[in-house]
Amino acid sequence: MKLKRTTKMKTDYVDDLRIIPDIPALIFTIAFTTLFIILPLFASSRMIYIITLIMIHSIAVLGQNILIGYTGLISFGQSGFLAIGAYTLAHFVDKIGLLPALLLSGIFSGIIGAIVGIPSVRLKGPFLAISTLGFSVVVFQVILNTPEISGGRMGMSVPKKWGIDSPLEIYYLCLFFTYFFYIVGYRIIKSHIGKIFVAIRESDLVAEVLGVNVVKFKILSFVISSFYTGFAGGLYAYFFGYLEPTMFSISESINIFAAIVIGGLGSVIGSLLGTAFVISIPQIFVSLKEYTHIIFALAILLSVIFEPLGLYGRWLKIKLYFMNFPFR
Amino acid sequence: MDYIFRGVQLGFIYSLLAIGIVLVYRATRVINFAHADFATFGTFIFLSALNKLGSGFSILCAILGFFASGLIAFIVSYFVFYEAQRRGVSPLGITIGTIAISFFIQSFEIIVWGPEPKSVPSFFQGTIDVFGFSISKTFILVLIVSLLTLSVFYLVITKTRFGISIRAVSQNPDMSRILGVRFRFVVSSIWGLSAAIAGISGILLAPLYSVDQVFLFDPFLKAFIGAIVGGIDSVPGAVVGSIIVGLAESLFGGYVSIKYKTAFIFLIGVVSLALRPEGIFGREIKERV
Repeated sequence: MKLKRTTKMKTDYVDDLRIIPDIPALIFTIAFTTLFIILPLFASSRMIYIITLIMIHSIAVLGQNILIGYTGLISFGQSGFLAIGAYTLAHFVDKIGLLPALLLSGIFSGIIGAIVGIPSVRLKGPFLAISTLGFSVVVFQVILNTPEISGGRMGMSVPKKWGIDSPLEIYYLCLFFTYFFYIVGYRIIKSHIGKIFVAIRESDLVAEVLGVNVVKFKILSFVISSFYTGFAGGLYAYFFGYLEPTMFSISESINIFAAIVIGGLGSVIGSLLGTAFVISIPQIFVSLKEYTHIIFALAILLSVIFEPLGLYGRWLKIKLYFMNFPFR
Repeated sequence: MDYIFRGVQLGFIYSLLAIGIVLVYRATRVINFAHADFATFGTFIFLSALNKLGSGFSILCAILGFFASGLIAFIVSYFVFYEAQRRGVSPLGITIGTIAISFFIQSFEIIVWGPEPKSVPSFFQGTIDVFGFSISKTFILVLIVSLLTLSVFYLVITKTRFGISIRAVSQNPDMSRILGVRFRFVVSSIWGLSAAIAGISGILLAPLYSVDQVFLFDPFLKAFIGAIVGGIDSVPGAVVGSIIVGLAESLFGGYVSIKYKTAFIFLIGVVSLALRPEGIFGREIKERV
């Protein structure tokens, strides 16, 4: 008896690049996209708020997952890049409009990312983590101590015009950018750049011997990830309409890091799942504020010890179970 | 001159934290991000005991805090990190696990003791004159306690059977296991010992800051940079590096700008890593494929 093949095998590179590989995935994608587009018709405004927050953070998490999960450079600079993106937008949105300002947040944060990435040439693992943590602390202190940037004690309000101001319009804006950045991120990871990132993660020495310009690609990884994070920071500022320095303390870095580890190091969908977990848990359990970090801690520990691929690995196993249903 | 004394004082306190980071790193190749939280736990126990018993028993309370921070680290290592290691989790994975443990302890402290900072009365007030300099009594206390701890620690590590097994585990885990060292117990005691020493620094720092669940995070980062400057796998290096960091912090804060002193410390760390990644006393890091 010939066994029916359950999934279409990838036979060449073009198959590997395809974002929607087969018919079930197509149905799934269309269903989800439709759901997100018609969601505001029946969801409460609070739900829209949470989903917008998840989408904004998921862009940053994907960017940092390219750096931490794919390139293997542990970084805690996330809150610094978020802050740079947010304050860039806050200062420029009035002068040059929303979209150019968002782009500028990303680009400016990317440039800073290149500078922060320079130590990564020599440092790895926990040492890089500490020096990027230092970067976050420095950005936080500079913002806290410079009223010209932060708007002083009262914080800083971000003007909302340019046609996009209601929560619903911001929801659709964020939805568009989330799709856009996830498709771009998926293509980056499937391209030769992504393969090189993975090679550097496995062993940068071997990658160098095989002819990879490790310095260039490590810094490129930093630039891509900080562009994503800066852009998300810009959206974040525009979404809240108000900024104060304490929004960008170290705990923001740690939240994003937790999202990556819980969702799955080195997976695109995992970034989305992890962000949804990390953002929605504190929003759902508002009354149990103290316990949310305990939940995070247990989730991280469980994923480190039992499931290194995080929620994405769990999802893969469930999918595999149903695909080969009677067999195990 | 005042700044130098203050710098040396901070440096000794940081060195108590840095020793623990180095010990754990040497034995397990893990950077312990929960180090500060173990020590904070001990400090909270110290505070509670102090409130119960009154200030007459402060030494007893300090010993209680010392053992509390050691015990919690021992338990966490014995039941969580060892199991993780046995299941084949890499040191980097366990480093991420220490971050999770740090969250856990912080939330636990908020639930039990509340989020608001608690002030601690300083142990001694006033100054005494030594060779024409007026030195605060707190400085003398810090100096005595740290030197005492460092020398007891040195004796334990070099002279006792326990210390020798610690060194054996750090040098060659597999061989020490074959030769009959109780690996799980010894590795967990390394975590416990390092956390207990850190607990002393937490108790010494408590009067300088107000105590809340993250008050040791900043000193922890500085101690880590001290350990990097001195060499992450060298105990004397950790002490020297921490004193350098303490002096730099105090002098920079005194003469240049108090706002950016943390930023300056990180600059020292980055420059040191760029010029000499293995630190002053460390061995050169060689990588094999």
